Amino acid sequence: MDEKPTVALEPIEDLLSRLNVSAAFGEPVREGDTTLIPVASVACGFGYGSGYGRGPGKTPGQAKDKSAEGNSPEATTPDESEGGGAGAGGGGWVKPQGYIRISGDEVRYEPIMSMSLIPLAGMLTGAWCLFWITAAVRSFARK
Amino acid sequence: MTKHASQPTKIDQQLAGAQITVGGRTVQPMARLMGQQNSGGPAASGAGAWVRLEPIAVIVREPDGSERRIAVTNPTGQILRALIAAAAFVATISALLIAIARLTGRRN
Repeated sequence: MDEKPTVALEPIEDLLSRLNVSAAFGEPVREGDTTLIPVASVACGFGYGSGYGRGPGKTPGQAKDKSAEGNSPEATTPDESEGGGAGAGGGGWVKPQGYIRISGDEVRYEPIMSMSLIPLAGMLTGAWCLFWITAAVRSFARK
Repeated sequence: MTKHASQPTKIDQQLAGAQITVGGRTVQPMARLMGQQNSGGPAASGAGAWVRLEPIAVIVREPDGSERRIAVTNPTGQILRALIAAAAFVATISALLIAIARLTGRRN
């Protein structure tokens, strides 16, 4: 088996054909005279692969030489050990981003702000900046 | 075994969704599909892809025929990117100042 296994690209093409705008914009939800269209960002990734290999074996020349020396046939048989493997993995996420509100004579996009992530990121950034500024001031103060 | 070079293919498409009609007004969502697709490899066969679908806008067509575009933004993402940029800027400037202070300190 000298040929390399061929890569099937169909799963990737199938994924791309399934990913359309309806994955990011949900089904409209009507409530009274207001219609809401949920909006989200979607990301996903996956990979798969396979490999095959076998032992180094012996070249025909080497095998003939060994036969001439009177070795047993088992010793001259090329190394037939071989192995293969395959694997696949993937993941993805959907993040709600906001919604389109259609009411009366108005169409509006209303984003969703993450009220837990932004303060946390702000505090971490503040601490990071404080650390670097303090380090810079100290390095000049030592002079 | 023949050696195959990996073949990355960039994906960048703008997609228009199905029109949604509400009270005589038509709304058409638009999104952007970004990503990369790889196949092949030097030692074994394999393939992989990552894609990201970002909503970008909705096109609103009024019953009188007028059309307008409403941008779909991600303020949380924008704020987080701005914070990361600020953190990187402060760290770079501070590291430069520390390096200058050390160099001038050695000379003196």
